[in-house]
Amino acid sequence: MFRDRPSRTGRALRRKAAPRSHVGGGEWSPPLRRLRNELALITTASTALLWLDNLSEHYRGGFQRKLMYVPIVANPIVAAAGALTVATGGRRGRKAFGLLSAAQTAVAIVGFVEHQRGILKRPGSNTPRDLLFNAWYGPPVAAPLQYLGLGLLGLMASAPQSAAAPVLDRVPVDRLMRAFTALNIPPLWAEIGYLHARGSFQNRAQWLPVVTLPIAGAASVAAAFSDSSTARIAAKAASGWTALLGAAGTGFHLYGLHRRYGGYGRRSALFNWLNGPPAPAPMQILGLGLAGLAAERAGAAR
Amino acid sequence: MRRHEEVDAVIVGVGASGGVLVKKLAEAGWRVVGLDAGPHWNPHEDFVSDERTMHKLYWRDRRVTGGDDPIELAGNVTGRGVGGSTVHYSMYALRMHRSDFEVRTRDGVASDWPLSYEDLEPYYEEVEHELGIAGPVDWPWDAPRRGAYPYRPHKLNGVGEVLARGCDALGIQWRPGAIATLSAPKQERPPCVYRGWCIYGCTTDAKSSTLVTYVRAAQKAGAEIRPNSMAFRVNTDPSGRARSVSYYRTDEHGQVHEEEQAARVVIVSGYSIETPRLLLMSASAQHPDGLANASGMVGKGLMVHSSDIVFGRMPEPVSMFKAPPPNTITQDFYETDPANDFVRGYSVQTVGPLPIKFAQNVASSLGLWGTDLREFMYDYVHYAGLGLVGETLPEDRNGVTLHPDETDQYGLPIPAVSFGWGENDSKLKTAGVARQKQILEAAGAQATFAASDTAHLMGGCRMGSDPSDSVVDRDCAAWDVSGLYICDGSVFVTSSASNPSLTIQAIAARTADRLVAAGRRHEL
Repeated sequence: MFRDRPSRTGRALRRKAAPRSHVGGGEWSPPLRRLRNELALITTASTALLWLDNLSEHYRGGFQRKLMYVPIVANPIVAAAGALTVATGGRRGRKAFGLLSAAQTAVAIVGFVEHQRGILKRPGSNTPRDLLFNAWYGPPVAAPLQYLGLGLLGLMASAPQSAAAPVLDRVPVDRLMRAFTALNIPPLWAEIGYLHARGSFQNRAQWLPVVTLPIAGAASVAAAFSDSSTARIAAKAASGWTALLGAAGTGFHLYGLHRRYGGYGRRSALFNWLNGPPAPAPMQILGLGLAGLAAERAGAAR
Repeated sequence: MRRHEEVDAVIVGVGASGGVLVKKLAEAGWRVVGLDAGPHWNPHEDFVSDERTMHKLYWRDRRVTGGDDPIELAGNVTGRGVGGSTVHYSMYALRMHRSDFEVRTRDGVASDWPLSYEDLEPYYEEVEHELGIAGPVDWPWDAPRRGAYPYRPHKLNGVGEVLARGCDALGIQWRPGAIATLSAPKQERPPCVYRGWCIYGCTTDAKSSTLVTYVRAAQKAGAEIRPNSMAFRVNTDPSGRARSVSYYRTDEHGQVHEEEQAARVVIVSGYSIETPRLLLMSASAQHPDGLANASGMVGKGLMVHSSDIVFGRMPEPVSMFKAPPPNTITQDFYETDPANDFVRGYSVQTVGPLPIKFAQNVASSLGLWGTDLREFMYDYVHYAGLGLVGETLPEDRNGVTLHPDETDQYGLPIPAVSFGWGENDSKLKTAGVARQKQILEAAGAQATFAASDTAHLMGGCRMGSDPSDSVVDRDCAAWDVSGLYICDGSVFVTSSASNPSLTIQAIAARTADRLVAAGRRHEL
């Protein structure tokens, strides 16, 4: 299966890691081992960036409720376990990373429910029409689901071979990731859409993710059901474009901060960071795209 | 005396209306000069966070106020300087309702406008886009709008939530206000930072006064804005056509020079006191009662809005000074309701006076002073204020005349303003104040008090379809004097229950288009 051109480092890693890999149960193929390490890296980096975003938003919300501290405290613990996993190539910390990632999905679900409650508590929520206005200025509807996505990604990066094998026997890893990408896109799309609408699409580039993410999502869905090379090309294009959107979006958001009053000036930077376009937010899309690309490469090695 | 070379148009007063005119005419290729009696402010340097200092934005020249119910003249009803009162207005950018244009037909009072809502609709849209009005997704009052507001609404502030809660409890519809401050960037202008000093001059350019919108665009298009230039006479030629404007210009050393600007078209945009005053001061042998005054209507039919504020003390801090004070609104009581003992209606809007203004309200309404006032003021952050915009019907006895003896710093006769409430106005006002109180109490106010006030000026040179009872026609052209246009809030026929700025600007945008079209047809 992995006879075709295993890299030198891959071989070396496998030799070194082989005796310890019993911790996770069976043997991982080198492409999958590499993918797991890449996913751990992406998840850890995305989690750390999400912490920055999360801290900014909850700080702006004045930590009105004690619950708002939970993700702020929990996130760095998950990220630390992820960082340890990445640094040791999976030899240490992977199990903790897996357990913490599972716990993070629970945090996400509680957060999601609490955000909806926060929106519904605002004046005018007795009429459905006001929901959009309240969502614009209440807790962001789908934001906590990012923790769900990252939790699942962390589980993928840390699940023991024994647990993952039955799944991967039925669905190859690249198709699994295509389905994961497709599931991630709708909440991201909705969140970006309604928040860019709040900004009146004043910059035409705000339409880019709103118009193109559904196409990437549709391509991912279609590709999840096929092993054809066309499906791979579509999935790569979808993930590549998603990653590009994330990178460009970060650039646009940083530019957007500059356009606010005082821009990056010493006395305005923090205020603008808190109230302007969330600079770290598009990095979540970059992470999703990179995870998809990594899975395609691992899948291609099958 | 310096005589300037003739231009295509000279506009007297570069405020809400004048700003729109200079920009649109200059962009149409006209050579345009805008005269303004006050300075050309630089918001970044001239505006500070100090209530008293920023009173410099008001027109504080000598005036006499009188009548049965004299109104305050040196405050926020007028502005001085380029941008006029849009520099300090509270930014509600509301369209008048369709019914406002036909009150004689519908309610049997005042007169119908020579314009309809449909005439102004495209210009409302144009101005809303130019200013970047942030408004609610839907506007439930009057007939539906053709399009959405260009920018999304601002978030609710403390008072906004109070109005919203009160209205929800009473089954009254409310919306975030449609206001002229940006909720997202527009060209070089940044979105609002919710500093809360809007009505004392915005230092960030987020507020869409004509000073930072239309006037900047006008200057880019080549218009000349001449500040510190107080017009005192519109000159006519022997054929009776308006030819030039004489004005006193104060130079940087404080020296006053008399100058004259000749133009093919003279447009007076000085608002409801200074416009009639200038026309009356331009009296000559040819026009003994003042310019454009054959009907005798110049200076008559002045209207204000009853703008009583009811304050409610809330259990929790409200901090009404945060974010744009115009935050939420209800117009559920705007139209004539047969159940009332009056016709027409009112809007209820949030307000957010800063501490000195609030202290003034407390002192004058509750009679508190000294220690009592100081102790009362400790509760400032707990107060939420709801303001009224109540329609006032025009009456000929309310208006502007020239004072027979008193003169101002230029030696010009000062205006004498006379105002008194009509019976309908008073009943409407009483009902409005009761409603404000009811909303505050439904929101949980522990105690309320009302402060009496007026806002806005309208009328004084009304438009009409009959030269015998109006000063200008529907295109703002003076009936009696060719080449003379009057375009500002003074042409209003009725006051409506909406803040007037957007309608003033829509009329100006329409007038500019009509002038440009007439120019192309060589009819000027």
